[in-house]
Amino acid sequence: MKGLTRRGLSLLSGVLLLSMALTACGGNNNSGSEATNAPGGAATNTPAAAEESGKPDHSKEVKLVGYLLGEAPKGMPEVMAAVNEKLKQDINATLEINYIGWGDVASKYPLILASGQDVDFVFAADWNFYVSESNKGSFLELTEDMIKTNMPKYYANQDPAAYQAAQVNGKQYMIPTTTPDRKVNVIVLRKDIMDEAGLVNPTKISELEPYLAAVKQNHPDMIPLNLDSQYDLPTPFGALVSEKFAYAGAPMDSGDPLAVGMFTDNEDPAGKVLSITDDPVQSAFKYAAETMKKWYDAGYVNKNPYSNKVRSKDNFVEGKAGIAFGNTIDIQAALAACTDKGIETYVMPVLSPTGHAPTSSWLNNGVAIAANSPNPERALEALDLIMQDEAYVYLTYYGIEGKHYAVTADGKLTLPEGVTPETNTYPADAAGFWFVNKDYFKPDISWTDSYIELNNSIKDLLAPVTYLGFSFNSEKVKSEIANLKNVSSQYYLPITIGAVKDVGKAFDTLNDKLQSAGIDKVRAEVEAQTSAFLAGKK
Amino acid sequence: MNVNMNAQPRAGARRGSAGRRRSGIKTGWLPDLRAHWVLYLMFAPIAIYFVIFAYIPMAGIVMAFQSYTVKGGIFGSEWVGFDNFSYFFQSGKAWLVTRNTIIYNAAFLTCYTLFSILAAVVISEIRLKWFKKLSQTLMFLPYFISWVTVSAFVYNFLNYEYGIVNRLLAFFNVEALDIYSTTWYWYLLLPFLYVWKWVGYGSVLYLAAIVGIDQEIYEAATIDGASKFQKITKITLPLLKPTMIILLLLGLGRIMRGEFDMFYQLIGNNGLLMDATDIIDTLAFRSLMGTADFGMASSVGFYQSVLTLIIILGANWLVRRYDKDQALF
Repeated sequence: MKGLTRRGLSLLSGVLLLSMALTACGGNNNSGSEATNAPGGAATNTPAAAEESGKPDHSKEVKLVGYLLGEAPKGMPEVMAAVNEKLKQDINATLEINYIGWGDVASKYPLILASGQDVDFVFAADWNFYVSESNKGSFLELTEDMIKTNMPKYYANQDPAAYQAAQVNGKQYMIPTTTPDRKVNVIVLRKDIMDEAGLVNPTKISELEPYLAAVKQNHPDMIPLNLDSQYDLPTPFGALVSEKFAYAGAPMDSGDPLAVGMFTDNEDPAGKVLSITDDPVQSAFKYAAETMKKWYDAGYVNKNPYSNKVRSKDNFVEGKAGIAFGNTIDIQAALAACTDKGIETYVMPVLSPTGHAPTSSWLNNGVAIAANSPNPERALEALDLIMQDEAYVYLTYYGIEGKHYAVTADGKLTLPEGVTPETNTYPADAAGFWFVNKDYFKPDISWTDSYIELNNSIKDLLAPVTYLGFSFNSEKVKSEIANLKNVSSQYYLPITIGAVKDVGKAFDTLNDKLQSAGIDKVRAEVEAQTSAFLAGKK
Repeated sequence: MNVNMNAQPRAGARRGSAGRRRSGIKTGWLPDLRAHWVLYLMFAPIAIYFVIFAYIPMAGIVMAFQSYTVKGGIFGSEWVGFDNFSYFFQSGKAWLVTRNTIIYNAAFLTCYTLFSILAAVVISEIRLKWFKKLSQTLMFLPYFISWVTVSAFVYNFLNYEYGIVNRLLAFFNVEALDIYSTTWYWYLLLPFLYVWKWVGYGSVLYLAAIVGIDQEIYEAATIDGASKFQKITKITLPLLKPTMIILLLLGLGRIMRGEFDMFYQLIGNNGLLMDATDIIDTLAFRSLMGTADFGMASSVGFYQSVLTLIIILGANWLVRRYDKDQALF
């Protein structure tokens, strides 16, 4: 008896071990095969199901799961409850939104798509792994039929060229926004310091030297250029380069402002592909580098932006940065806060030598359906409402009326009584629904006259870009791109902040390293893809 | 000498059981299982854990040789041979980062072991109970602080413009230190911070070993007129050797990985410090951030694993040659 139990037990533990091992294996295989089946199956099912009844079938309630970037605002549960109430009524679905924090995007975003966990749609953008994830097959391929059937409002509003732009290897994986951002990069100055420096209406960053000197001299607690490690780091350098030619702010091969690679002049109709040894890039970069070095050596730039995680626009409000960098959209909150604190500001757009700024691509903001979404049709329908139905747009972007925002008699947006920017639990733009139709938006009451003036002038400042809608597919040169990224951090970024001993030598080293990293191979690939793009445009 | 022999209970027990096995009547795994099933059952959870979380995922190594797609999954993606490895060796930094990784981790491991033992010995000698507890708690505290927070501390202490250190120096009219663009500070700072963070944890391990030492030995030594210092050097330290060797060997298992968090948070993308502070993980992370290519990332993991295996086998072989009973396997 006793012996039997013993044997039984040990046998049991053995079986347990084995079965767990097997199920773990099996689990892996399953998710793999599901992933392979889902895209094909869904693509063939969609039009068929829709054709049968003429209208999509809503008899079964579904729960949709979406992932956006950033962090959930405090008021998210209330807003989601309101959204779900409407969605349940309209398409018999409920929505759960999860967030990928800014710090985790690079690691978590590909993982969520690859792990096969419950996800129907994700935020997608050309600056956020759109092309590389499309290459990996993480997204569901979208056909025009699918969009037409499931997203009628969106289809009516979208420019067909956007579908073209969203293609990777001839297939569309993203639902791009219908309203690409109309934004211009700006530099914000303090009026009081401008007076100290005797500066009147500057238009270029290189004119700001007296301003920087005045900050350094009269405001010991303020760093003239207090750059952060992500956004600001290459920004003043880029603004200086923009004085010489229409610089896109990032290389074409990676789209990463912190990287170096192949560039182009945005306003060159022939769209010549340029490296850092070709003019105008070479001379403009050297000019910018020399200027930055002068400023760095004079102590106008913080010595270690790599470790600084606070953006200049936030330090500007706190009186710790002399200049704020941003764009006309993301600077709004900082400007409003300055007005609150009684700081008078001067906003200066960053323009090309011809006085233009590049038009944003449709792919700047969008959504993609995950390859293994269980309910792609319903997800598309939900997105149609969220992106294009005015009530949904306001709900997701601004929150609940009377609680998170209010509309004044003259049709301006304001905060409800008793709510301040600090206590608002659902600040506009914060929830990550950046792909909605922004044409519905109303002007904000906190906008200063100079901001409104600038905002109105943006339309005239924006100039079409030769490669609007072009996104580089790095699949064939990914080893080289990885190496370029690495060379950039070590040899390019110090140049952009001016922390090099000798600009000429630094460029020589950079160039050597770029050569050995395989820049020529990247150049050939960029040239092949751009000429195909230009040929397709004609 | 005699003391030394007696006081290695672990090694002694091992020798004993090995002897029994050889002289036993039944041999083979099944009879052994029958005889010691309770022990095996106790072992089962940890075995299952390792099978699920270490052995099965090991199959994922194939990704290092594939161009991974979500559609194909781990086992269905296209094979590309050694393509994924090319960027790492083409980068021209493969040797540099491998060397940095090994040197830093060797330094970390050495400092960590020395200071942990020192701290453990000192704590064990403290007679005031409240002071003992207090110092232990204070030493353990950094263990719970993440490197993100530490990097914020360090930045506020050391940054050029308004760091506390430079403010103090300015008060004494000393020129400010530009720590974030000078490499040699980091050769000292990184091991210092590592020890600061881990010494509390390490000292607990050694303290446990010290507490386990038979008090009679100390009493005998006291009767023989040994001083406190003699007791430490002649009794405590020799008896800590087995624990130290085991912990060192286990520590070697991490030598190729080493504290990615620490380097990434403290140094980040700082190009000026990079040649001195780049380790394998930070190089791979920086290069692959933009592409999120699983295959290429796996290839670096594979490279690290192979090197780790070689290092562990080598170290274990050395220990075996020197003292068979102290080796891990």
